[in-house]
Amino acid sequence: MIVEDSIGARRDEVPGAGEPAHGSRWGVVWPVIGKNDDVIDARGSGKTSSDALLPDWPEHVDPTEWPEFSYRFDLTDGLPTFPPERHRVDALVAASQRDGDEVIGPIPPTGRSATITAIAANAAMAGLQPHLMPVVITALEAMLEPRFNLSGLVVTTHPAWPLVIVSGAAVSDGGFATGESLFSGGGARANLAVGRTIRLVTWNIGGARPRHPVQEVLGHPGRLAYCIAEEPVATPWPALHEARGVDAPHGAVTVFGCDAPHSVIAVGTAERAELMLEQVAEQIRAAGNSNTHTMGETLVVMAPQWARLLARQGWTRAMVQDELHQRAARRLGDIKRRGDGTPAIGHDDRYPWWPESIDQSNPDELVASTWGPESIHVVVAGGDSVTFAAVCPGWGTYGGFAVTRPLPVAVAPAGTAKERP
Amino acid sequence: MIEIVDPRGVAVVRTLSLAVRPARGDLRRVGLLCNDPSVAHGTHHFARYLRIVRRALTDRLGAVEFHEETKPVLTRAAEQTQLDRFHGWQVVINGLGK
Repeated sequence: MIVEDSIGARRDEVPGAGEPAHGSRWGVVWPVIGKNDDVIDARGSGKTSSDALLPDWPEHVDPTEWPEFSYRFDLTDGLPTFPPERHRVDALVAASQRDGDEVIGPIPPTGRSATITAIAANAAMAGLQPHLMPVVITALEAMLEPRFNLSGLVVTTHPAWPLVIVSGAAVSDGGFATGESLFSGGGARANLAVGRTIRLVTWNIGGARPRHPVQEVLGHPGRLAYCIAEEPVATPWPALHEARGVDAPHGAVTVFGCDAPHSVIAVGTAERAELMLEQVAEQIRAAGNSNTHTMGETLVVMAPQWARLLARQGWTRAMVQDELHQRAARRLGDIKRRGDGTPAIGHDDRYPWWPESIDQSNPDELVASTWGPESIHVVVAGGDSVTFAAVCPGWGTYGGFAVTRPLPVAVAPAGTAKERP
Repeated sequence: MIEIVDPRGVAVVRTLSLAVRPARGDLRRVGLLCNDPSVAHGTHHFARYLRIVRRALTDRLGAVEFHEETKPVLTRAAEQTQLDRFHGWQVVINGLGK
């Protein structure tokens, strides 16, 4: 078959065609045109077009050759992986309690279908333990909800990435770390393997490669693995999913598209609640944050000690959200300026995504950084020693909005599941 | 040797018909589906930019009628209801503005 790319180049003129597979071109050369003049979307056409640009899968490899094989086949972003051995993949599929051929959905940007088996293969590469498959699948299903706009998030210029937040019973059942080094895995296999599986699914099924088509300007270390868990015991407040109105006896997964954490320390606040929250609010409303210009949602992670200090002064999570929303506002004239430094308040300077209630002709108008108090997601986690917090700005008005889903089953390893009401 | 499972997912068959390309002299009705104007300000102002696009197309194609719409959110695909409003226009240029 002779195929052409969208600008008319013949397939045999496509750079690298016919060479040993490497690089990322398979994910971006679409659509292609078959000899019957039908457009065949290269993100999906069985074995006729997109797969023609993928190297043939050998089914068997020498295990000692797997590392080089994985790089040659462009199966990883650079970090080493485990081989997706059939018996491991089968165990992961079985643990999911789903059919291996079941499709979770199309993974952007290519839109190739994520079957349970393909997800399991990526999970095997990430070293995921079988009992955590429901966490990964629940997270992917949440990410595929339209409001999350995963297709935009994976390719945007903005340095945001889906953060997986595990809460409730699944935290201890699944072996997730909630303490020190929270955002770098906390030393737990579960945190990193879940985050890593999400990354590999978007890499291998979605084809999300830097530059073509991912346009992220600076990148985000969390793209390698971005998963945290909420402290279930040493916290004064209910679990995140409960605060979001989700009943989840087995625990829950919340996904949120956000930046890397910007840390805040409560130094100089005399541990007074209002001053501590002002410190956080200043980070939320930073002039260059996407939220400051487009609103949307943001995430605040508070170390347990910080949360307890607030709780002892009578603060609930809802009160904290409301206070942060009120404080994380900026004067309009300081958000938008013209080249000469004057406020950009003309008709053509209007931000169409801001609500009508904001007077965009008034430079002294105070503009909140989030849509409302409930748009500030407060999670308690991290080492229980110093009063640190972190702000993870969202992707503004564009997507990545928090989605919370209950886990359908307990995630404890086989033979250790607890009875739950 | 070990058996390994392909982690690249399944391609989905989707066959589309190609639109008929209008002859150059017949091209009179052009749709412009724009991204939101948030990234174009000052000397790169969005309205000015679109005027330049329209002028360039008019210079090259002659008298052209334009139908112009802006996507509500630049990062999301346009909704079907918005795409329906371009029905009957000969050519639609999308992605304008970024």
